[in-house]
Amino acid sequence: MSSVTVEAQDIKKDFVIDRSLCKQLLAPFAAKRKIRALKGVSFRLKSGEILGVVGSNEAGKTTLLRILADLVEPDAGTVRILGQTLGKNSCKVRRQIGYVSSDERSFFWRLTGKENLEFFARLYGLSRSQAGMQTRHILKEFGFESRANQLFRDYSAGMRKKIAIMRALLHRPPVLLLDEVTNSLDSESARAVKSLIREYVSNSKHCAAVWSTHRLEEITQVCDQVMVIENGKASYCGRVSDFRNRGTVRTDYLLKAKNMDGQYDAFWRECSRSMKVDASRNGSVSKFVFSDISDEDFGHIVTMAVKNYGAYIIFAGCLERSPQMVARL
Amino acid sequence: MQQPDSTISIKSLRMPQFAGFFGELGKAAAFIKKDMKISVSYRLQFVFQFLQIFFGISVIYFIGKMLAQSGKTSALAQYGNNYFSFALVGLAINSYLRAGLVTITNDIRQTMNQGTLEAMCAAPINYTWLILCSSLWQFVFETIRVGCYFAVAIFLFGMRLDNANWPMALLALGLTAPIFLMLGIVSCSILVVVKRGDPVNWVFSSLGAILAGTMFPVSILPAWLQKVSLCFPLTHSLEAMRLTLLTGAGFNQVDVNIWALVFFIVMLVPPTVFINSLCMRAAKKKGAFSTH
Repeated sequence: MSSVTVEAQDIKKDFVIDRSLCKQLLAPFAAKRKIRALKGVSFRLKSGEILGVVGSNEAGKTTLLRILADLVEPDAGTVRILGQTLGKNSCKVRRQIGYVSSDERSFFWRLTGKENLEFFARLYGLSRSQAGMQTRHILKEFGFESRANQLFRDYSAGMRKKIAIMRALLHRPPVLLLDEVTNSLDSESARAVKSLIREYVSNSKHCAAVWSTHRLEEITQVCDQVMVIENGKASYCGRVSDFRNRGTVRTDYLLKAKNMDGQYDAFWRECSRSMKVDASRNGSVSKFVFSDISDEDFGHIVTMAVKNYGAYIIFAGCLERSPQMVARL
Repeated sequence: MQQPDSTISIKSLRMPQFAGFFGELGKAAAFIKKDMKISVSYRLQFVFQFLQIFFGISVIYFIGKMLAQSGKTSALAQYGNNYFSFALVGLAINSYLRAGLVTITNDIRQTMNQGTLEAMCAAPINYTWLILCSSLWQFVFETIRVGCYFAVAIFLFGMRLDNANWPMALLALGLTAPIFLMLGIVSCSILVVVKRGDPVNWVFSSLGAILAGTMFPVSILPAWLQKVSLCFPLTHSLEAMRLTLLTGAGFNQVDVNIWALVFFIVMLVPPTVFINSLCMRAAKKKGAFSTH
């Protein structure tokens, strides 16, 4: 049976907004304004699993990852990494974590990529020879050897991101925290990184990862669990397969058609008998949105519109739903 | 041949064995190496830092010559009546203080701006040790610069240190370094929280430079300010260094200053540890390691 690798219980975090000096002097005892970043987030992640954290900007994804990386202290709640509580034995726990921040600038710009990696390897407690060896290995595996001796400042955003991923993997941590890890990467590199992380988590013992992203397709490709964060709250947390079903079984479809002038009302009435339809008209273009129907039903509707109502189809397809929309279903 | 990106595999990456106590020393060595490389990479600045020594010494050489010609060196009687030697020791030791406070805080501020401080804080390293390690290269560098100050003064400007009591001078210097290091840790810790305008830095580097008598003897200050100056470790450090280097004073002549430095070390340890842990905790609460 796989053990729990990362466990978060009811994590809450508020950030105090700094007031201007003028306001502080005028009202020194006024209540401090706070931003509620996380409002009680919990999850359990077993070894071999990847949890996808998805949400819009300012939803609280980065704050959650920074709390898990022991860089921000939560106001309430506990985090356990491999059974050890975060904050009690920080150094020991941090050794178990590989963190890729969304900011790929977090290196020494006047050192080469290799020198940066060697320095961080030493910081993770590796001996000099081990740091050199691990750095050489990972640079080779990423096909980065020829660019390893280039100064970090000369790297492109994508190359910096790759160095950041290499840094997180150098000490082979059991827990990976990946914040927007495929940002700045081209599609081929992004695909390679996804399969690398999947392979790393699946093949290593007691290994798990938390993957934060905006992109729903990354969640469905890489993750086992998904958590949708909205305004600091987890609006959905569960298996990716369940999440995927929610999104595909109950999908909205859009039909945009022309030449339905005389038939618009008749077509709408016929469709409304068996399903929920929102219709609108703009000049000669008619627009119908069908909610919660299968793709098969939508196929019949399109055929009917063309054959029976003489519609000229401009667009017929499914309306993409955001992860937040799916979570609310 | 390089592998294409689509076939990244880290199977060859071995599970590392983490070093224990030596790992911590290794971290310190890694910091020194990293900071040295960065420092040397700014070639022009690196060269100017050494050229500056020559110009700094030249200025005090001519001031010393002027004072010697006018015969107004009576205030320096206990230091051998030589303003040049007197001020040179002040300049050299003050550069130590600057390394411990100004340079380190600037470096830490830069790492915060770049986001490297957060990256380092994510590693398994004690935060006090992290700041201490961050300042090591500056102390190594300043030790080399202090050596250069004396070498230039002796070989180019004819400074004489025939009577110097080197063991006692090194003892005084050895006791000065941890004090400045602790002040540096306190200063950096406060900086992580307040970002700019650290009061420790201001008190010790600006006020201390005046009251401790870097370029003039404390005896010319008003009596009440002389008493205030005793609260600054730099005063005792300069006094001990000047007397041992310029007049060859032994332990009996500088014992008050030596014990004062020991007292400062002992007294500074608890507040340094307390302020550091308090500030780092506050920074962690605010999530301030990477905010600028």
